[in-house]
Amino acid sequence: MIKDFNLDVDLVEQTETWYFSINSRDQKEHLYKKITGLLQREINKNQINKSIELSATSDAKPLITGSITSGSLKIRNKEMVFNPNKILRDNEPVLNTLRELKPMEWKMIVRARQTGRIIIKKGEKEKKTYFTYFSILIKLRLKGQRSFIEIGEGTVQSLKFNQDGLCSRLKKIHENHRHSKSHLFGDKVPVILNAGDGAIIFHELLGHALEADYIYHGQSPISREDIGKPIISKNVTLLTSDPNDNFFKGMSCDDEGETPGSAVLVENGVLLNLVADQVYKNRLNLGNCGHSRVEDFSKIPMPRMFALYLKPGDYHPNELIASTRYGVYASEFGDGKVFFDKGVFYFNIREAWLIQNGKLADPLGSIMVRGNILEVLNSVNMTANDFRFDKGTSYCFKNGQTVNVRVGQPTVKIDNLYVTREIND
Amino acid sequence: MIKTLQTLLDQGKKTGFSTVETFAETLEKHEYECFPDEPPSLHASDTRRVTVRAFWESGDPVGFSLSKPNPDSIKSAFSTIYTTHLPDEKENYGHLLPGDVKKTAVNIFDESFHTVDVHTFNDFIDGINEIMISSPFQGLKIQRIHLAKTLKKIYIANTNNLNVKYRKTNFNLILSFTLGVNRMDISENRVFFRQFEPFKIISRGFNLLNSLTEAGVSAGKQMALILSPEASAFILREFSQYFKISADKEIMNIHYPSILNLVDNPVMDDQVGSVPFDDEGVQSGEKYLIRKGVFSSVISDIASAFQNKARSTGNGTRNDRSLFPAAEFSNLYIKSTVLSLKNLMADAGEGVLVSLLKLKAIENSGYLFSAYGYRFSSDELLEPVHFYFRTSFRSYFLKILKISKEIKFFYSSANIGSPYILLEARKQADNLFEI
Repeated sequence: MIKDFNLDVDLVEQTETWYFSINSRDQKEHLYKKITGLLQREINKNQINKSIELSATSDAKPLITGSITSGSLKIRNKEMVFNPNKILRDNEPVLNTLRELKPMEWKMIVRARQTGRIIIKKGEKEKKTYFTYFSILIKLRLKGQRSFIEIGEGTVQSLKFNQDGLCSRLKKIHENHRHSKSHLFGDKVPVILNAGDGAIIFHELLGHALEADYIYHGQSPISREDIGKPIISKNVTLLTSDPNDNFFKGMSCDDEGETPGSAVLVENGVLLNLVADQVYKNRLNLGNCGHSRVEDFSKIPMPRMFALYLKPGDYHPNELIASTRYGVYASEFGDGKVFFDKGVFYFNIREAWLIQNGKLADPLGSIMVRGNILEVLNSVNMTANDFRFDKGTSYCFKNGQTVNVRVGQPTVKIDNLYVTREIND
Repeated sequence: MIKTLQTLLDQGKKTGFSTVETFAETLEKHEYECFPDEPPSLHASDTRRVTVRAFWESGDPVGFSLSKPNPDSIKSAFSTIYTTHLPDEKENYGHLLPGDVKKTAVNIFDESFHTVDVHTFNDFIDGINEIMISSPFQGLKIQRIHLAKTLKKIYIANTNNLNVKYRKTNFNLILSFTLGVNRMDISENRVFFRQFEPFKIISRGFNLLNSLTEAGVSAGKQMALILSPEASAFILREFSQYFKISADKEIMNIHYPSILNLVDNPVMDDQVGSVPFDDEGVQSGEKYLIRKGVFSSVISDIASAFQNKARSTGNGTRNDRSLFPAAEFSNLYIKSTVLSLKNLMADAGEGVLVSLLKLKAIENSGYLFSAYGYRFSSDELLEPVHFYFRTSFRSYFLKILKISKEIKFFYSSANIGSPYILLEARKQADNLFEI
């Protein structure tokens, strides 16, 4: 049964989104979206949540239960210049590359989003958080292919994207898929995840398994009793913040106004903390929370990650490839899914290469890796010294809500992964 | 809301756009959720959002969406999208937005909506718990119950003089079951609360979870397959993209078995996919996509129809994540016949009744499905089995032998329905078949 617990928290939100796309048929879409609303939560023995859409944030004032010390509910977003003509000019190298490569179909999407939130807890001073995000996504479909391949970049700085990097990645993924060779991997093989975006696999496999709601409801392979015990390979240390990363710097607290006491989830394979919000911190009697997140005011917050970083090791990244007689090198990442009930997962790799005798060999195009969660986490064999953050396009989908997440890691070698072309099971 | 729409149209014209369309949606939603031994959590939400699509004389339209707009936010939003006009001389489809729509009576509103509350929910849970205790669903456990009721009001107006509205109710029930190590969420959507049949939902959960086995199937060169309505609807959802206007035209020249009739019908009473007109204000009615085995039409919204020099079929749909409509099905289904499931089983003699499908791979040659079901002999269901089969759109529809009369609908972005389908599969390799 649930222990006595009281949480009264209001969240006022204003989000503006700008969108521009152009495709291979020269069709353009320019859209703007602004949502404003209030989420009120009253949690004791029962949980009552109320979402109300508003014309302006100031309309929330007569509705909120807590007190406003600053006397203002205004959310000041940054001045945004989102001009499709300028976007076309700035991204001309990418557009020219797409026209040169001539895939069957392509689309370039540029987005900007600003979210401002005020979190008001009864008896406490209100807190404000801001998140400004810019992204570019390029989708292309090659002749004979049924689905699109995607590459993208996201930043919290400005609408400027790395044109050289994007063009080179476009050419590389295009070549990889055009010349991809089908390869049958009979048994489990080592897979090397390149530095940066590859950490999304740790987010999916381990990060979600450490979320307190999954643990409380018995859906995770990890339990409350595992805290303080080794749960995975000693080569793995996982952190939830990094002073060198400014991705979430405007979010000084979570959507309940809390900040985590410790940034270490796992140290040398030993579980130290869970990913919790206040509700599950209370239910599981934990010391740490600060991981309550909600997509927008019309949904209910839940425990989930902001950032997850895998600490670097000592190897040079080339040593990981050189040590692999037969395996896969994964360089662009897609989405994946974890099945906690069966303890398994799959993950889509958008650009992969065969490794033979310690060297990169044939391009493999898109593949899927899958395996047993705990077995794979215990098979993190080598971690390199080349830590990188992701390219800013990592997202997390949980219970119908999508939020930006950040990941980072060095090049990592995992033994024991099945590699197929299949989708899921 | 009517006044707000008029303000939007007037401001759009005043800003300099030649044609303006507004789409407003108000949602009153109440969600109840509970886990075993926990009191329910409640979430009430009231959202009011307006979406605008604005056209210049030429070039692609632009758009915006606002929460509960007021004159200031409307003016500011129009100016945000107007000042960044991209020079573009190509013809657009603003003139094709409808100026009028006939009123069609569709039964999609539950008068008892406001009486369904937390007490109804608690009674409903009691009923489910009673069935779980008193019925022989051995090992089946419920982990979570989630019930949502939604009252949606839609308003559409444009500067071509259209001004229409309708309201619709939806009840969504999700039961999370476990059986052994397997877990599954069963989700059902209904227009009326009274349409829920807890015993049938629990049976569906048990049947699906119980079929999850690793045991393969032994068969000769041929094997009769009966796809359950749920399995058939799953395939239909995968193949439905071929019935959109932009799809490959080659498959349209093939003659499929004459018993096959595939229909999209937005004006069916009591169905969750029903609407009196689409999200662009275009009216639609029953459309045969395949009639007696012959391809007869595809669906479109105004933009995709315009690109293909055709007329919209009234399937323009706006979803949460995109502001502009795209073509989507309303109630898409395979028409039933007079035969019963028992007739199909008797005709087949023996084979496999497939309960559940999962998509394993989309290859250039077709689709690979993972199938779970029960072996049957005459009209008796035997042990659960699992196998794989490959098929393509063309091959699948060509191999349909018989269709039953028992039709069921399953909702996910569109409402898709099917009776039981009898097909013949050919063995390709151990536990791998081809349709």
